[in-house]
Amino acid sequence: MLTMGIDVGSRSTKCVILEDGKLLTYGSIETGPDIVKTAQAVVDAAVHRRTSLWGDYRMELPDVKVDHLKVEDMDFIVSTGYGRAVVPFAHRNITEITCHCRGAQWFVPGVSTVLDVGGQDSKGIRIGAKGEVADFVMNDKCAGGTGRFMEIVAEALQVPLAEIGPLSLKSEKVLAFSSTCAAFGRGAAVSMRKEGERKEDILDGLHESIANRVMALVKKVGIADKFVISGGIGRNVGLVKKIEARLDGLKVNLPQEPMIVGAVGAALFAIDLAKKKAEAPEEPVAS
Amino acid sequence: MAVVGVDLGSQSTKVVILEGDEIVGGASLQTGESAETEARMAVQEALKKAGLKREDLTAAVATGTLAVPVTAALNIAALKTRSPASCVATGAFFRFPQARTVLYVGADSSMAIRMSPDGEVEESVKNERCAVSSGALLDIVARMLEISVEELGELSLKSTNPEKVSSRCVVFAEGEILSFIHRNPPVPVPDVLAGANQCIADGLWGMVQKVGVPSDLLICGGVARNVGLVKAIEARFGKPVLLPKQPQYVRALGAAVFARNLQRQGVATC
Repeated sequence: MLTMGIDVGSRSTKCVILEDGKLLTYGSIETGPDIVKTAQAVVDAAVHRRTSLWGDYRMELPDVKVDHLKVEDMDFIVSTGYGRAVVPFAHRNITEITCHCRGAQWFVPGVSTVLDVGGQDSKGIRIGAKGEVADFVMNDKCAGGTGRFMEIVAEALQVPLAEIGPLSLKSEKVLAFSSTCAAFGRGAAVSMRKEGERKEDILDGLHESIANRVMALVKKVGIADKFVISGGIGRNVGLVKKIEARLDGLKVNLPQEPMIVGAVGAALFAIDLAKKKAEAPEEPVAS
Repeated sequence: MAVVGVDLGSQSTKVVILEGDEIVGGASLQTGESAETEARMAVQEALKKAGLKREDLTAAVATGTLAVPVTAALNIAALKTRSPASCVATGAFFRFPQARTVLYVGADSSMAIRMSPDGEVEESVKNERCAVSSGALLDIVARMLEISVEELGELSLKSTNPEKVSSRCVVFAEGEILSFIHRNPPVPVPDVLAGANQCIADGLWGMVQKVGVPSDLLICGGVARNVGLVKAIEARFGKPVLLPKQPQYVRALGAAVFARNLQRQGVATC
């Protein structure tokens, strides 16, 4: 059985295809202004095994030909993310909180807390004993604790997003950002550079600021073992290290490919729904 | 016996020269790299306008977000610094003694100040950690639409149906406004601008409410030159606000008044 999960995020869109619950292929592209086109393009990225924004592939994929696969070959497709309702070929859409909860358990069995930081929001999810969403908090009001802040500063410093993590590890001092506002971050970074400060130290300060922000958020749902980070920030080693330092001894469990956690969750729900559909073929499935 | 007030803002440096109770000169320069250089140049320009020489200045007070030691650059022996809030209050009280609450809106920061009947700061709330209630959004919108910040206010008054900005973050509002412009058909420019003004006014009004809605509200700071924003605040206030003719100079004026008081107390005899 083939199932597909599509996670239309504010900055990037991810597509995962599972074959009988095993990862067959995945891909990601930047979210464009037209979500319908973006959704079609990400399927193409997945079957041609392409990713964007954070660089190279991390997960091993089965050595089989997949580039012939089409949307019509899927038994069931579930969409998630902020643009989930607009994906034209999805059979069902499910909220990203639920999908991240499911996907995190696929990557890290027994997970209790998920911190997901995406392009324009961040959320903390507490997972209950039965694997259900026990509690969650979300910040989509302020860019201060989101990937957008990283992008703005990376752009101001002219460092590719994929390099800011490793670069920040070479820091010699933390140059704190006095404001949590991402809009001020650009000016602050530029003026620090003018004063002759090093990019490494500025990025270290940036990660400190974002780490403080997202930890305050996730503490509201409660931090417990196992703690998982998902979303684009999972690819930023500098930030992951800062978060780990604030966990009172707990370790961060990092999915191999943190960006696709939500899409994997959606594809797993698609399996359940495909089975249900097979049991009751008469019943029309709402999309 | 002239004194000078210097306001080092995040985007421009303002200078006011006072002789007694009379404003004799003023100047405003864009803030660039060195605060010292700009302060010196702005003082020179204001002196020229007043027909005075540097030796005529007997006291100086500096304030603002970039309040750095500019003593050496200005070469005025008696230079002191005062907090931005107290300078705003003092400048506002000097022009409009009846004002009880002052709303200051700068390029990067804003504050609401409640004053005592003699112009002292009683309570103030600042917004310096978040850009939403400042001029930052207007800068972004002006750049996006390729119109000058000075034109934003007048143009926004032509709006018939302001497009509501739902984000409470400048960064997200930028994306939202971008989608207004790219909508098919695009949202008319005046409606976009009026929406942006209302977004900022909402945040500012919240600050006024925190210190207490007064009988008389004064608005100052460079962003107060945006007539659309002032109108949006007035709509929430329910009546006209007090608006100085050149609201961008109020904080520098307050600094100058402090300098004059120093001089009168004899602290600043050169």
